[in-house]
Amino acid sequence: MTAEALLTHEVEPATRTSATTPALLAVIRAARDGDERAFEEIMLASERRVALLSWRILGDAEEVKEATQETFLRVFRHLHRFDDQLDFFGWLFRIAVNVCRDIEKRRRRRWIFAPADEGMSVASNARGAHELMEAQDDAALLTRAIDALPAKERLAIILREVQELPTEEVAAILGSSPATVRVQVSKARAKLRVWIEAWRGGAR
Amino acid sequence: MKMTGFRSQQPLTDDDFKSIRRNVMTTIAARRERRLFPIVMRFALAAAAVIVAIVIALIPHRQMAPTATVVTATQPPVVIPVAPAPVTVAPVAIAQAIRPVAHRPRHRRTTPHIELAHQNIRVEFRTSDPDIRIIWIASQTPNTTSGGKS
Repeated sequence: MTAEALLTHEVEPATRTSATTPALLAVIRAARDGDERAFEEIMLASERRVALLSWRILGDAEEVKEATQETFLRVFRHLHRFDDQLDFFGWLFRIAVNVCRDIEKRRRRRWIFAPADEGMSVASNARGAHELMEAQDDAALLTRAIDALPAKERLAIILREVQELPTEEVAAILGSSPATVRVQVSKARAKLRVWIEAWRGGAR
Repeated sequence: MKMTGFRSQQPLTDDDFKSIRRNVMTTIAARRERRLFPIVMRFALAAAAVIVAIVIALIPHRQMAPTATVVTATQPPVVIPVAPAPVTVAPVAIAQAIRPVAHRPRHRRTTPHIELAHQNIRVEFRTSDPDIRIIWIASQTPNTTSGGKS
């Protein structure tokens, strides 16, 4: 498979998030009224999607646990602000992305202030990039390439191309305009294409 | 391979999710308890404030209760040596109103002053000579306490 084919697939509409279903909305309202059991149901319905998104952004299982937990705590705290007209998963992903950003910021600070050896071990554990490089398969290349992108472009391409969210929703999650998201995704694709071709060329 | 293949494997196990749910619910319960405490405190403070307000409202009423007392004093006979013979002054009953305390309402003062305006003190000096008498009449007005000689 070429890098072009890898990066230019069509987004499947079926996997996109849609408006909140009436059943989920009823559970959300119950949770908002203080029903803890209902809140647990919300967690059961959405925890895997939150964990996968966090995993794609953070790439570290321990941080994913932390991010998932913090995301649901924030959801509980701000559930009364949720607008029933909006898509619940879009709102949930926005919180999850913000939590992941906070964890990434903290991680960067840890790298700056940690001793050199510790910092290197944190970096290698978090990404596992060396192992992925050794594997030399598409997934490893893609992972390494996406992880190497600047933060904003990385988030844009993960949400738009990997999570397959609509551009408008990605823009809402990232707090930018759809046009900005399109530009970021386009730049990210171009960079990924160049890097993957270069790595493949170098490997031959 | 598609872009969706990027970290497509779920990193957490069922046990991990169970642990996350438990942690979240425990934290929520703890926060609720913490939130409940200030509410109880608020009610307690409100109740205390109401009690204090009631007590403050009652205390001034007790102070404002009429405490004016009119003491009638009878002066003992005054003996003034005017001449070789002692002069005996007839006892004069004086109804004297004790002025109320400073913070007393103004309208309560008026009654004793009106009474004082109509009171005259009459002091009679008797000498050894039955034909000579010295009579001193003092009239008390609200503004002056000393009377004129007549």
